[in-house]
Amino acid sequence: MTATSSELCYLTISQAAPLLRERQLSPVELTEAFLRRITAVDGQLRAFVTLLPERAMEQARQAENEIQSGGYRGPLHGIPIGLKDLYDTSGILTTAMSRVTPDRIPDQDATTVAKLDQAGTILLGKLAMHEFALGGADPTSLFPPARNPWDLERIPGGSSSGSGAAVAAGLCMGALGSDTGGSIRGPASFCSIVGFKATYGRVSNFGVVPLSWSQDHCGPMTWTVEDSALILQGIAGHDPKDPTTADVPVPDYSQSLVDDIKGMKIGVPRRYFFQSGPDVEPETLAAIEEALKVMTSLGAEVHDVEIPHIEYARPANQVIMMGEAFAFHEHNLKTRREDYGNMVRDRFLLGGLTTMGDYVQAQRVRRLIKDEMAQVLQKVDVMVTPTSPKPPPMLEGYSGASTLLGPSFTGPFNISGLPAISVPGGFTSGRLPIGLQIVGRPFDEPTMFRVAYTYQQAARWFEQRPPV
Amino acid sequence: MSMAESESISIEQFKAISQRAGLEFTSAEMEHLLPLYQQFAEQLGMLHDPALPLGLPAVTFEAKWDSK
Repeated sequence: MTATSSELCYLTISQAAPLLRERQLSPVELTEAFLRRITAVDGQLRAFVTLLPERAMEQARQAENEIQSGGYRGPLHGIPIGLKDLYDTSGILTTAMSRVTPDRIPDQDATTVAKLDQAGTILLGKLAMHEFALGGADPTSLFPPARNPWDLERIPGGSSSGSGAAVAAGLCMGALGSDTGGSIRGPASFCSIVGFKATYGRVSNFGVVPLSWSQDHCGPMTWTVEDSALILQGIAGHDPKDPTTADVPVPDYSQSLVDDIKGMKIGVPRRYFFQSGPDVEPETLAAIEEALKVMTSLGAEVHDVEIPHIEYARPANQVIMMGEAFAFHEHNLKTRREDYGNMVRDRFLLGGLTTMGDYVQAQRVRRLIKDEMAQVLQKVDVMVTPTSPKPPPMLEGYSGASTLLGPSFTGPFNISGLPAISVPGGFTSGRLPIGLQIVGRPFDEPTMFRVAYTYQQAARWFEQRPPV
Repeated sequence: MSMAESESISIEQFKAISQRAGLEFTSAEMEHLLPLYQQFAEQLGMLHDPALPLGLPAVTFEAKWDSK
C-alpha cells in the first residue's frame, strides 16, 4: 500500500482490518509507521512510559507471516495497540506510574492482555496514567504527566491519560484503559475519542492493578465506535480467574453497528447533569443539547427523566473507592509513604480515615441509586448526559483536589455498574473537546453501540484530528 | 465518631482519628491533610443524611457454594 506514515496512523481499526486481511497492507509497514510517529511526536505528549519497538516489530513480522500463509485470526490481527501501565504484561515493566513499583515485572499477562495477544494485536508499549489510577496529573509520580494533543498545555484527563492522548494523536490504533470513577470516559471526552466502560462483570479485571475492586472496569479507548466494538468483542466474557465477571453470553457487537435510532427512547436526567453552576461549563451543556437535537432529528424520542438521589452518588463513589484503595495499599502507606506521589497519597490516606459507618452508608446509597437508575431504564432505552462538566483544565496549577470535590457525571455509573460510553460531542469555541455520555441497561451494550454509532455518523466529529 | 461528624475538628482530634486508623502523621502532614479532610467530610456528611430512604439491605451476602 502506498500511503504516508500519517495516513497509516490515522486509519481506524475497522479501516485497516480488511486491508490487512486482503494483504493490501502489511503489519510490518503499519507498525513501523506508528513507531516512527511515536518517535516524532511523543516527546511532546509523554503518552508512552515504556516503548517496545523490537518486540512490536517481532510481533508484526509474525502477524505478516501468519496472514500470508492463510492464518488470518480476525479484525484485530496486526493492529498496533497500547496498554495503560497497570495491565500486567508478562516480562514487561508494569509500574502503575508509581515509585512504589518502579521495577515491577509481572510473570503473567492480565486476562484481557492475553486475549488481545491471542487475537493477534501488536503491543507498541505501555501508556502513562495517573499513579495507581487516582489523584491526578502529578509531577511527583514516577513519570511526567501526559499532555493533551488538542492543547499541550492542558491535561488529557485521567486516569487513563496516556491512553487518551496516544489514541487521539494517532500513536496507536486503540488502547485499554480502566475506569473506577470515569477514568476511561473522562480522557475520552478530553481527547475527543471514544471510551467504553461495559457493564460491571462484562470484562475481566484479572491481572490489572486494582483501585476499587467493586467499581473497577476495564475497557477500550479508540477513535471510533466501531473500533470500540471490535476491541470489546476481543476482551469481553466470563473469566474463571476473576470471580466478579458474569457468565453471560457475549453477543456479536458488529451486528449492533446499525445507523438507525428511529423510535428509540432517550432519557435525559436534567437535574444534576444539566444544571449550570460554577463547576459546569455552559458551552458543554449547549453542545449536548445540540446533540440531543441531532438525535431527535434522527427519529429518537427524548424524554426528561429523574434519578431522585443522584447527588449522593459522588460521595458514595469516592468513599467506596478510597476505602477499598486504602485496604489494598495500607501496608505500603504505613511503611513507605514517601514513595507515593503527593496527589495519590493524599487520596489514599483519606480512604484510611473514613469510618466503617461511612463505607456501609455508601453501600446503602449505592443500592438506592442503582434501583432508581433501573426504574428509569424501564422507561427509556438509554440515558444521555455530558461526560465531563468542563473541558480539559490546564496542567499548570492543576490540583488533585478538584477531582475530589467537584461534581462527577461519570462516577454514578461506576457505583451502579451500568455500561457507559463517551463519544465526541463537539468542541468549545476555544477548540477544546466535549464528550457525550450514553448510559445503557445492564449487559445491553448492543443498544449503546447502536445509539453511539448513529450519533457518530450524523455528527462526524471523528473527522477532526488534533494539531500534533 | 463518623467522619461525617468531623466539622471543624482540631489537630488533636485529627491526630486521634489518624491513630485509630493506625496512621502516624508528622505535624507537617497533619497540617497538610486536615483541610482536605475537612472538605471531604462535608461531602461525606451527605451519606449520613437521615432523610435518605434506605429501607433495603445494602450489604448482602449470597452463598454460592458449589455442591459438587
